[in-house]
Amino acid sequence: MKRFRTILAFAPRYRGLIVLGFVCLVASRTLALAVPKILGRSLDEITRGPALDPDFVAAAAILLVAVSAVLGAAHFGMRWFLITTSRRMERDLRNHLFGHLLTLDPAFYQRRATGDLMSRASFDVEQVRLAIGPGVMYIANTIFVVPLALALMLAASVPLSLVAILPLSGIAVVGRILAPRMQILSRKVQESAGRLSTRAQESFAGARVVKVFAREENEIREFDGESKTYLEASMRLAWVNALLRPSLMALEGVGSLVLLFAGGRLIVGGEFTVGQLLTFYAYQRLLVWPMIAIGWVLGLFQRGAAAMIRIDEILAARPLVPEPADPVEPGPVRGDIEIRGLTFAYDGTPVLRDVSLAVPAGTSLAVVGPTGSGKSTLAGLLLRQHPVPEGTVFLDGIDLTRWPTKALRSSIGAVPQETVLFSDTIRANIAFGRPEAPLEAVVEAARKAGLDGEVAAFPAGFETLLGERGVNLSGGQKQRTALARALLLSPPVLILDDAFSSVDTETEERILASLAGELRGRTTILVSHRVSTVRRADRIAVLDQGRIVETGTHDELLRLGGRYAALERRQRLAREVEALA
Amino acid sequence: MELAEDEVLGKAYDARLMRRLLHWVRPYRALLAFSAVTLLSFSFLDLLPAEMIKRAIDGPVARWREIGRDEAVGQLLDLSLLFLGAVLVSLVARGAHSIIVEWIGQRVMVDLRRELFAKIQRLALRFFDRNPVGRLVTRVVNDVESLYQALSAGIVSIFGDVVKIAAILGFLLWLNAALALWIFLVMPPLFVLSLRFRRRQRQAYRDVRMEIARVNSRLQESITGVAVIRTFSREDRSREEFGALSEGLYTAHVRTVFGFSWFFPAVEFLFAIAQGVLIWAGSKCVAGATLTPGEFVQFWFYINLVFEPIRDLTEQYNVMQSAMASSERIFRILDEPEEVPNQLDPVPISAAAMRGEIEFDRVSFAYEGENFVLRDLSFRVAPGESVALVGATGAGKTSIISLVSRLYDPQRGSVRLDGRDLREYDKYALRSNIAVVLQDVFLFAGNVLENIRLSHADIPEERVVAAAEAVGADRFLARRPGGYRAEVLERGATFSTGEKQLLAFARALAFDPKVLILDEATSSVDSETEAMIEEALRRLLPGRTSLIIAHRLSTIRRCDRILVLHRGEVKEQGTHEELMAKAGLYRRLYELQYAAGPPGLPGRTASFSLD
Repeated sequence: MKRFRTILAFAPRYRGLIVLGFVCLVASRTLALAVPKILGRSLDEITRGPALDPDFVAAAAILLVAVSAVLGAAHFGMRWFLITTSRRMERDLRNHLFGHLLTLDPAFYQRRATGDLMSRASFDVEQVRLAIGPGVMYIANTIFVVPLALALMLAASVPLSLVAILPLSGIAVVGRILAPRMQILSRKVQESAGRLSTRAQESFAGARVVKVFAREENEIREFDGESKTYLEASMRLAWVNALLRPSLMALEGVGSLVLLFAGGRLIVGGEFTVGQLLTFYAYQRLLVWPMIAIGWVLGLFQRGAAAMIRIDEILAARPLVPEPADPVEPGPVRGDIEIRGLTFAYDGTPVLRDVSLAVPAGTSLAVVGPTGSGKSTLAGLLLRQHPVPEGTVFLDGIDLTRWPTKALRSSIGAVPQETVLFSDTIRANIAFGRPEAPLEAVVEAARKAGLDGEVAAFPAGFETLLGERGVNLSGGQKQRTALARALLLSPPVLILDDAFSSVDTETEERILASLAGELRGRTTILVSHRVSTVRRADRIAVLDQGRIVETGTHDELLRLGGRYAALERRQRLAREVEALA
Repeated sequence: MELAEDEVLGKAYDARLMRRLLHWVRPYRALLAFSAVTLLSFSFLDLLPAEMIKRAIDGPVARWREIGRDEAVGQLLDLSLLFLGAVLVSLVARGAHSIIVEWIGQRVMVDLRRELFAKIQRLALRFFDRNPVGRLVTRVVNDVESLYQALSAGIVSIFGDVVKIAAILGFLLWLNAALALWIFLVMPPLFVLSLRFRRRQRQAYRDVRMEIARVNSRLQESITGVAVIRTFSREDRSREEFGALSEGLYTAHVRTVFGFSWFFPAVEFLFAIAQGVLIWAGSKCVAGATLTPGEFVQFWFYINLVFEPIRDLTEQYNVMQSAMASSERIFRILDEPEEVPNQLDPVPISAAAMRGEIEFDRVSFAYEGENFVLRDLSFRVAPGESVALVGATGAGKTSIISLVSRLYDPQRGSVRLDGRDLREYDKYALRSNIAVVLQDVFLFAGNVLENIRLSHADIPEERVVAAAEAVGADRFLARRPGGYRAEVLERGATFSTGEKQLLAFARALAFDPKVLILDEATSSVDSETEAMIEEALRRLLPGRTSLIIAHRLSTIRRCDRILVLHRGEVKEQGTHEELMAKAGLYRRLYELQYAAGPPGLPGRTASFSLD
């Protein structure tokens, strides 16, 4: 149970429910043991034949129904309190895990596949729940019922108990041998079903290609082959199934028949009554399910523990960027950025080397450079997505490491390289950082980002849903939505990380022109590899392999005749070559 | 939503559907009959033990003082051995039944899947335009599965359960009608309760699935968007929103817990009532000597036995219900008319005899309704001529090449190959005699050789190699272990875009068709591949009728003629120079694409490099 520490930490708040659940469990199991006694006593009375005492029997019948009513209520309570509590704890764990995921840095996510994280947050959480919910309930049930029933059986007759237990252990053995085999085989069936789906999915998705190349027969043959593989996997499972259930039932039958014979012998000797034998038989039946379940429950605990470890791994991950120990209390942000001798390595590989730059408040800086030159890392550092070395980056003269993360992020608007939109309305996506923003403000931001015209053409305008259940935006539209999202914040500092890469040059030109007014008085950092994007910036820094190799205005850099000029020439030449062709 | 359509349930039995379903079972009717025999035998054998117990109680147990101890024990042994016999035979019968039914169900599933899949493959592209892939996969995988369940768990067990219930009830009535009728009183509530429970649980699980989907998609979005959430300081709100979804999932789960929590105790309680009635009314019968103590115990065992099938029947009701819904959906596809029907008596077609003249004669075409993408379009491509199709997105370029492959039939007008309407040919033969190079080159699972040969398995290996060499694909193939026999994984995952492109050219060249359709990739490739593609085109175009959706200027200029399309009509045609001189639509398109607007801005395709 120690291994489940993380989820059990949520248990104390449900103490009352858990206690109630266990009280119900004890009550329902105790009454379940009482029912066979009532049955047996009635039967003994009935076997007296016409001489039976009708009042006694009637009382027994009423008692049986009354006890069963309480038993039913307790049984309900047991499941209800214990299982819903496990669902509550599951919910708490899920929320805790989600909250934790939001605190982790990009570095963490770069090392983990989304699918893996998803599976831990949904599948593994459910596995843990199965262990602490049904798992615990069945174990408690077994622990309580098995010794009591055994004791009652032994008290009734020791030799009969020994005879009765033998087939039961057979059930446990068969269960232990076949159940794991079944689990493996059913996983294989699942996998096979998965392949069948994938096969169909790919074939249908590629319908055009299949037709163009007249590949129908091939596709049918391959699908049929996969379908037969599925049949084979299912049949292997079917064989185990055909063995398991009938043999469990046969063992149960053997259990009854040895009781019939051995118990009958005792009755014939006058040592036992028919009623006692029925009671005994009912106890034996109470033991059948715990015997079958034990292997299953152990499996639940094993899988639950493994899942808990995987969840704990994520919970153990700590953000690399801690909140400052002695944060400053920032006033209104002006947007003065200074970088002094910044060197930064990522997983041991140096990405930025001795970068120094000053961006006075209200001016714009463009960073150009080839892929992998460190442009995006530089942008990410300003947002403190990576741990910033102390004494290297300053906003308004204050070391970035002393800024409270929230205050820092709320004063910087960013359009990241990879656009992420959410399955929500366009309006909600634009108002992502200011959910309370009025529609006019949202429309205005969209207008500045050059998006308003297209949005107006959508069926529901700004209330149009995006994503799976809604409209799919083009790459350029997505980028402009992200731009509107950043503009809506009207932040003192704006970082555009390759924000126009999917927008055609004409539209880019238009947006940049309309943004000119917006950007005035705002510190702007533009990251790009297109000259068209950066040429208007107050200053341009050329980054190569993590170093700043040139800085200046567009004209200065052209005059300098260095890397930037070469880039400009290349891009101009490419155009001219094509014009000539 | 798809979910809604797929979970709509109707009746549990529909004679018309059932007759069609039985058609699929017919080949296995002998086995099915045998499985019915095994089913009847173990159902009957299950009833035997209680009879043995009755005989033991009324025989040796009741009369051991009269007949003597040894005789009584001897009789007990005989009864126990009969009991054992019943248990063992039932073990075999049950095992055999289970495997036979599974086998029949699985076979029927394979047959049905093949038929359904083949039918879908034969359906026109229009059908795929209308039906999302996910839905079709559901038909082929899940709906067929639910039919299998109806067969293996449904029809057969319903038969078994009904027989069992009837047998027990009949026997009890025969044994003591008054007592039996008293006890039967709990049966209707049991049935109603179970039915209600199954219905509620079904709905509850549907809700759970929906809530899980919600939580998971939020989770997925949040994980991929975590940087944005943090940048915009949305953590608290995200947590709140997730918490609300999480709460929704919890609530949905709790509803299923509630169902389970009340149902099983309720059944137990009904059983207790039945037992109470048995004790009370049964004792009266015993007192009145109309029932022996042994028969009393037998009653008790049979009540035990009859509870389970009644509970199961309600489950089977649901299985049948969803199976009927599934079969309805499956048959709807099987009955789907073919929109691009194949000629029964087609004109023969062969690459050798083909001239390769393509003609569009007043063709109008719409994917949907009156939304025409091609309007009264006419043009002719002479044998051996290469034509570039140029136009903005939505001009109709893709529709034209789709019509040539006869993926669709036009609503009006005629598309002709060598003077005959395409509808006169066998569509499969037509398609395999036209070489198509698509934008997204598609490789099939198999090896490289098979992928170049495709449907023309008779192309000799030397010609494949020569074709690969001609387009320059041999260079990267030589580097791969296995060379031409290198395995191609699902959809060519291990090949780069450029490599796939070259393989597609090799495919076209090896087959040496009279007609070539090329949808050029828009994505930029590195300059080396670019040069290779140009070289490949230089070899591929001469002597072939080619229709090319061209994006690269070099490709356009290589063509004999350019058709400039606008909204489904040919606006201009001629060579590059002629069209540039004309200063019309082509020139405007050209400037937009290749010259990137006003002076001072760099070209679109230029890439950044500081070396």
